[in-house]
Amino acid sequence: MDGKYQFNYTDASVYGHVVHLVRSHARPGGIVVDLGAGFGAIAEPCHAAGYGYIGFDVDPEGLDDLKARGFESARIDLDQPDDAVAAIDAALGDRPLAAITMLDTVEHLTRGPETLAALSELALRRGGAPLVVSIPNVTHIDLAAKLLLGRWDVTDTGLLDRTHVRFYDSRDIVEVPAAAGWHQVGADDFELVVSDQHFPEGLAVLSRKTPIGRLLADIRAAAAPSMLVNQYVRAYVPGKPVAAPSAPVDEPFATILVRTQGRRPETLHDALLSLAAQTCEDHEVLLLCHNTSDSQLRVVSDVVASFPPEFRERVRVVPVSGGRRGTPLNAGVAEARGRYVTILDDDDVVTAHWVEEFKRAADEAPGSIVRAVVARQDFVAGERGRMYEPIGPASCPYPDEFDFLGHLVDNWSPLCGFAFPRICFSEFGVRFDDELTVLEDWDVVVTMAPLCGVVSTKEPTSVYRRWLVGSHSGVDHSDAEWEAARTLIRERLNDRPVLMPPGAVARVRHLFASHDHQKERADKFEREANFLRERLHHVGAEYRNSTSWRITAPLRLFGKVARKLRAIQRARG
Amino acid sequence: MTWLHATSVLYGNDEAGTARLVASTVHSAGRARAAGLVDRVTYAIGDSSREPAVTPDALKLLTERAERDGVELVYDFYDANLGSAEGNNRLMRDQQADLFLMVNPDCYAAPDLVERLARRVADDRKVGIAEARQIPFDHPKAHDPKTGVTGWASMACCLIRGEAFRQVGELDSATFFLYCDDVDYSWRTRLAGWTLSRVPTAVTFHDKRLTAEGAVKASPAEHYYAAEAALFLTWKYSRTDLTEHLLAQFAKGPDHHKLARREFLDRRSHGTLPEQLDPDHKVAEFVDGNYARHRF
Repeated sequence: MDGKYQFNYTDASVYGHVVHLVRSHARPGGIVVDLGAGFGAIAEPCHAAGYGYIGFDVDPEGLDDLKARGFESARIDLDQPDDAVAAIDAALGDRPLAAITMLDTVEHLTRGPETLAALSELALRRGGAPLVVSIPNVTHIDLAAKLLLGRWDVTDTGLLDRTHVRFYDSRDIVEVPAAAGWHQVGADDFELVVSDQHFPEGLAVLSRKTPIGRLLADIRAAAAPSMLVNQYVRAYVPGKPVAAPSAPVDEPFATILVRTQGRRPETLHDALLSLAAQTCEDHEVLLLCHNTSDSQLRVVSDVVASFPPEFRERVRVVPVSGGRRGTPLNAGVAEARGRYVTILDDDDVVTAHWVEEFKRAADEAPGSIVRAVVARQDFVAGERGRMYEPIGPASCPYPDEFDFLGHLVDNWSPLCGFAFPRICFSEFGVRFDDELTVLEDWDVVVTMAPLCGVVSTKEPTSVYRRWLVGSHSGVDHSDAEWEAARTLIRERLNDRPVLMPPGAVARVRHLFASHDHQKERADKFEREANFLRERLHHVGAEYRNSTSWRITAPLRLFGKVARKLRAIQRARG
Repeated sequence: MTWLHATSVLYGNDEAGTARLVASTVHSAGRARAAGLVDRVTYAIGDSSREPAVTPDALKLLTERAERDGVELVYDFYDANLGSAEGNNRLMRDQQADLFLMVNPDCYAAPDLVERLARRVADDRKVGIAEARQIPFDHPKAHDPKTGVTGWASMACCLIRGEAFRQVGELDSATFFLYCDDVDYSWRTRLAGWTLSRVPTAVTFHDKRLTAEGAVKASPAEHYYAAEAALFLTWKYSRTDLTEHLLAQFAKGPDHHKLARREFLDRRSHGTLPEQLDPDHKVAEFVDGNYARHRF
């Protein structure tokens, strides 16, 4: 071992985090069995916390050091699970087991899952002692960023220790032990902003101050936890092995999220009717009942139950409590099984080929957002028991193609015109921001569009109903709220690096050229106006100084007096 | 004993679409039966397609599906394109039903559609035809907001009182092949003393789509038959001034206008134009190229 794994204990080190979990979960008064103990960095703190300590390792150097410090130690080969368990049993004898610790050890084991399973049985047999581990995180941002450049810098110790045989991410750290009979009960991960892989110095992808470094860090931070975790420090209790959940095999093309508060059963009825009539039935519908009372939920459930079984069996009613407009959508995304997620408010309707058209376009550009044209129609709510009514024809006022630059300025696309790839939510961690009271959809569009692109279909397939009288978000929220949300989203966009889609440069050039052209025109008009003003002034001066102007002065005086006299006469009646 | 007889005429519909049509219609009719508004429900499907749109296997499934809602389903392949008017006539001819439900093959009935329409007809003895509200695009023609009384009823989805049907007679399939057979039938029904009522709570989804400009799309056949129907309607309802005006306009119009004009002139020369009605202009309305005042 030549002392390369001899590290001192401090509370702020990974060892401190391990001891913290031991103190929280170990059974009092027993022995801490430290597997792969090396030089036993946690021996003294465990002893100080009132536990006995036995260090096990395959390497005698650390064991000798432990003995010299007055601790029990024994040789063990953890790649021979049965022998290892026998050795632990022999060393413990009748003494109770407080906890098993494995610091920077599991990733070295060639038969890690088997060893963990054998240890789980041992722990169960000895009263259910917990396991505390520290395991390096192979998804630390430093590693991820360098891998993009083709760098995989193996080192003697650290995140890419050359003797590691298995690498762990934030899913493995839960699922691998669970499959071996260890169920996570505690976490106190050890983070390093600058890991041992933070080299070479000056590499742009490693800096949060460069556009590329910031962009990668933003993507990594949103996508999954543990961006800065250097070592996962976790506690588990023994139990029955639980296999990792397998991916569903019968995913429909789309999950349609219908957000409702149960206050508009008539419009909800129509929205569902338009979904029941879809030509593409490869979809499921999640009816997200947000903050609904029991009676409203019953009304919604009754509406669903009234439909033929062919449709209602595709609909799930999902009550969602709390939060703002984003909350039900996030809940729906979490429940969704479809490859794409589409969203419909309970007062909008769609044409029969809404899903079909999304699917057609998605098949042509898999993984992209699909945007269809949304028509708009003005409505008034029914009064005195009357049904709501359209008061104008449908029109298509929104651009028929998605313009990313335009969407950086404002929202030009109602939500029902989008189908989002669900993987973008699950893998990039995109969420509807529940802090926003409005425009949560715009926020998602401008977040997701740079990542996966947008393919446009020019077919109008949905109708956004604009309520000129009646309740909807346009009138339920104040102008100030809309402006505050708009400002916040714009500030966020401005604060971060944003990927531009191909073609954006030409578009920017066009906008600049157009701006320059307009400015030139404006300048020209101003010059002409100035010239004309000067000319006018000059001509006026010439005229006033002319002989004819002076000769006719008495006439003008006479006219002035005459006008005044007429005015006096009118005033007298 | 109240007998409801539903009809649909297929034309090149796919199996999945027909299955949706049947499921929604029989489900809605079944609910009306459960509510006690009708006792017996039959559903006749005619097929004007070139090849049968319903295979024997599919028919078996459709029949079983209808039976689950207590509906007797029959299917008739015409082996000819009869158009909507004659296609429906064949399905309703000699049927002594109390109520006729006409449903376009591109419609999807709301669960409570039949119940709402049947209630309207039951509640008002003067109503000869009760018309459904359509989504995603409601028809713009006006109606009385209090009573629902309307100038003509769309037969994309409507309920005709059997008594009215037998009094008024069949759809004028000799004149109206595809378009405006419903306008004509509505006006004849009104001439016979019945009223027409729009029922806003009775909803049908009618598969209409939009152009990029937001107008409802129409096929070339629809454009042609709409033009032809305009000439025949103005003639039949004694507005020959408008007929002549249209003939003059169509002479300068696009091809489908010219074709419609030629068809009209041929019939006029052969003396096969329909008998003229409504000489005092009591029911027929021609407003800005429409057959009723429009809301928008």
